[in-house]
Amino acid sequence: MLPIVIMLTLFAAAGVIFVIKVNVIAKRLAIAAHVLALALSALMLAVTADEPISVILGTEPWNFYVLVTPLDAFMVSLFIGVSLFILWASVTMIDHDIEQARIPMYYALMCVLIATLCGVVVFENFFNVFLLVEASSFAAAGTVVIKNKPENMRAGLKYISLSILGSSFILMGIIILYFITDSLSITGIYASLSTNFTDNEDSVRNALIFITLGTALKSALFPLHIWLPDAHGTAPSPSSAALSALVLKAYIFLYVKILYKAIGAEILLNDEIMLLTLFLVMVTGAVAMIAGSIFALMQSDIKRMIAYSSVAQIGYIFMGIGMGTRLGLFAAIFHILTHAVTKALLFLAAGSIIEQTHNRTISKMGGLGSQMRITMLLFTVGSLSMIGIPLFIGFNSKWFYAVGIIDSHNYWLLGVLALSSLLNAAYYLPIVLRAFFGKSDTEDFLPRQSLECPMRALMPIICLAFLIVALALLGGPVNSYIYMGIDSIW
Amino acid sequence: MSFWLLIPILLPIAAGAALPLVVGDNRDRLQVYVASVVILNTGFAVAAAGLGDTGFRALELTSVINLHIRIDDLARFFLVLSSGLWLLVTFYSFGYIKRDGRDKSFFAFFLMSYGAVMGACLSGNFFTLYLFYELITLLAYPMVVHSGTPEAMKAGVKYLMYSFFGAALALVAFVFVANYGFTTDFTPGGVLDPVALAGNEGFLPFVFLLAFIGFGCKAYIWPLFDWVPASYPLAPHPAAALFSGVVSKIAVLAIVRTTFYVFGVDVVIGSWAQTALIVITLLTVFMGSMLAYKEKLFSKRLAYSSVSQLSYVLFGIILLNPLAFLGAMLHVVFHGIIKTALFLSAGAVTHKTGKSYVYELRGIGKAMPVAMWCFTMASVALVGIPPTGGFVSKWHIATGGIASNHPTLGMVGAAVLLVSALLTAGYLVTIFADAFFPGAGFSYKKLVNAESGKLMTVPLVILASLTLLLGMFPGALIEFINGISAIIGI
Repeated sequence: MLPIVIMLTLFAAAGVIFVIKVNVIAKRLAIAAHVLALALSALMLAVTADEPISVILGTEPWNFYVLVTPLDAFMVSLFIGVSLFILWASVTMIDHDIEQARIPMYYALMCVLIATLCGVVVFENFFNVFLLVEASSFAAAGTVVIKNKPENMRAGLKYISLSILGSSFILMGIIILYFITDSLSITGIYASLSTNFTDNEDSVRNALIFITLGTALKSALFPLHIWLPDAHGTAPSPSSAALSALVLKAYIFLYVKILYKAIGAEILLNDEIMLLTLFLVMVTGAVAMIAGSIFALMQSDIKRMIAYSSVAQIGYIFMGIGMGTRLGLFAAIFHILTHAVTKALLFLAAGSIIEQTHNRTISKMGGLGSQMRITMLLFTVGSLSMIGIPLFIGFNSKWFYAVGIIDSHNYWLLGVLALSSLLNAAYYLPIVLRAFFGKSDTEDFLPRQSLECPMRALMPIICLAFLIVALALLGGPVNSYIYMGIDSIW
Repeated sequence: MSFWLLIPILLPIAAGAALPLVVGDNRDRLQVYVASVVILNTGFAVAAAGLGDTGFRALELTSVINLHIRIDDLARFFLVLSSGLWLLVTFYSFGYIKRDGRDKSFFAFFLMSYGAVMGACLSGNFFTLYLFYELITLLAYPMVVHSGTPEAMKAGVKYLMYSFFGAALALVAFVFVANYGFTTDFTPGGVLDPVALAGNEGFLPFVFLLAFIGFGCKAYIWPLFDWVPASYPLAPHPAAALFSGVVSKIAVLAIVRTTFYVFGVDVVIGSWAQTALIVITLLTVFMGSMLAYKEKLFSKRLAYSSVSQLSYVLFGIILLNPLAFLGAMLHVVFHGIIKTALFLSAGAVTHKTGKSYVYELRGIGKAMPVAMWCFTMASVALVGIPPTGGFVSKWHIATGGIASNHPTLGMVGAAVLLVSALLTAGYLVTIFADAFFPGAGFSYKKLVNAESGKLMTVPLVILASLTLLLGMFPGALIEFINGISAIIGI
């Protein structure tokens, strides 16, 4: 019952917040619910390491079916953990971004968002999963439009329309699989496909193509990323952090589950068309790594730049999945972790820069290092991690990718990887360097005083920075847990 | 016991990070602090060199990604050279770096770079070397852009991009070795596993080429030396001296480690990569000399000269012959000392008189006798006139080339070395000749004594006398280097 308790905790907190509508209670309750959920998910990590948790109510196909493998438990903990940091940072940051009256709504939406994302991960029945995918899309769009500005409305509308289009593609795929297998649960589909795949080859291939397209749209794989910069660029900074760090990943993880748990490695990796699909996913991912960075290079708004950087990072993840090897998948899952902590840090740091200086333009950030020393140092940590400098978790990711690439003999991707990290350096470093070593160009109208956020506002970002270094140096157990998780679904 | 090896690495890094807190705004306190840290650390480095061969591992994330600190003869060689040069440049910097408030950050990063350089010397596996290599790139950056002008910032970005690109190439080789080697710990004779490698041998020369050129970026190999002439003239002279004298030698260390301790002589010898690299290094030797000869800006001329001289070393290494290796390692020592002396005397001139073009230096020998005498001494040594150091090293490189497995290219190399020596004479002798013999029409009346303070002249005199002393008595050094080549089996 553990996964259900976790989700219910978050839903209950959201419900109470929604009813009471008091800012202070909303903050405390949301954070308390997350702490409790995090503790429970840590317990779940330990439990699933021995044996998967399974809860079934009703009979196939229209039942209520939860199955938590180690990999799922890992994702749930990741979602809740990172979300806790984001909420913690929200306590001071969100007040500047949205109207006071909407603050309880924001916390309620965040709780619902995380609960539904966890649901997408732990549910086994596609009927359940699909409901939660849709619910999470709406909650995510809600965190964008909560700012109540015209551009947010536009971005939110674009986001939700394309997101629903993506969900529909996924639904098509699921329906096709249902017709072939008479089952809606992942395990059921897998069991059925192992006997009747040869009669339905084309249908399964079509289903996979639909699901791939849907996931690509929902998770912003280039060139279907068009909604992402608007949504992530205009949303309040903590929402951007959650959207970029967590929401995109849930659908990617669902895709991984469909690939390896529903269709299964034996079928997937022995069918030419499906291998071709995977290959295309890998190539598109590689193109996204470069294209996203080039777009990021052209931005003048810091949040849009970080948003485009997400397009590139999502490319990394799809590239890893597309390799169709264990090491590739491991790199992809590890990169989900890397990107979650790093991008959360970058968005939150950028948020506090914008909050303190009321400036989003990169070229006007010269000399900021002397005014916001700690914030800029934290931003530096995030940048170095994105570039892939050793000591930071980004390097571990880059390393696992390189190992995966050599293992899968796609040597040309090494060049893409190197070029991409160079491009990352090209757009992240100028911000840092201009801030610390450049001359200030805001000197004329800004007093040369410290613009630093109060320490309690910086604390969550500092913790994320420590996490980035700690996971890089002492992440051995995490790595082996992910390996174990992949072994359990392969 | 072996944990003591960490002290020379961590002490300066910690001391540098703590510098702004400890010294406040008091420059005298800063000088005492920096001097005591550097002296102490040079002591620790020499003491570490005195330990027997020992090492330890920490932070073991995987069998490849872990911190492996170890001391062996090669490490001792570079450890003593770097820490000695660093000590001398420290005192010079006290006289050179202006008291303008930015000096604190210069010296903070000065100390931290020192630690990173020590770490690179003491690294026992590929990851550790790569880690400290990247750290040097980042920590030395603030010294490059110390002036903070827009041109310096631009040059700094160029430096970073070239360095990251070089490191990315080396990383490709690193991943390759991790996949196809027994281990990534540095082992004399190489670590590649022929069984695992079966079928992929064709990649070996290519990967080796990547590693050589990648690490070669900081040793100014063609085509990656373009950042040198861009950034050195804008960096403070002590920083340029450290880059040319020490950091480039760390790149040489990395190349020696890659060539003899990772790939192994047997893999490289006779391969197309060896031929290609011989040609590339000779090309760089010639190109650097020509460019230096044409250059009118004093420190840019010295920068091009370093480009040429470092490729002497790389040429000596890639010949894979004990004589040439001996010459290369001797040239590491001599060029380290000579180029530091040259940059420091050029710095003394520019610092005191503001003159930075070579044609402005007429008659300067009368105004700054000590600096110019040291410059003359170092120049003569770099041209390679016996009994100075430059002669001994170049002689061995040339004879090694002829005795190597590429005798024809060796002959060509000897010819190129000779031409380059003539060019070296052309671009250095004219400077000191004009400085001491400005011609009949020159009026000495305008000259005032512009000699720098003791802090700057004493290190210069020590360096200049070392070039002569080591050139006359290289016996112990030669014996030590021959010991290393016996270990690595060439």
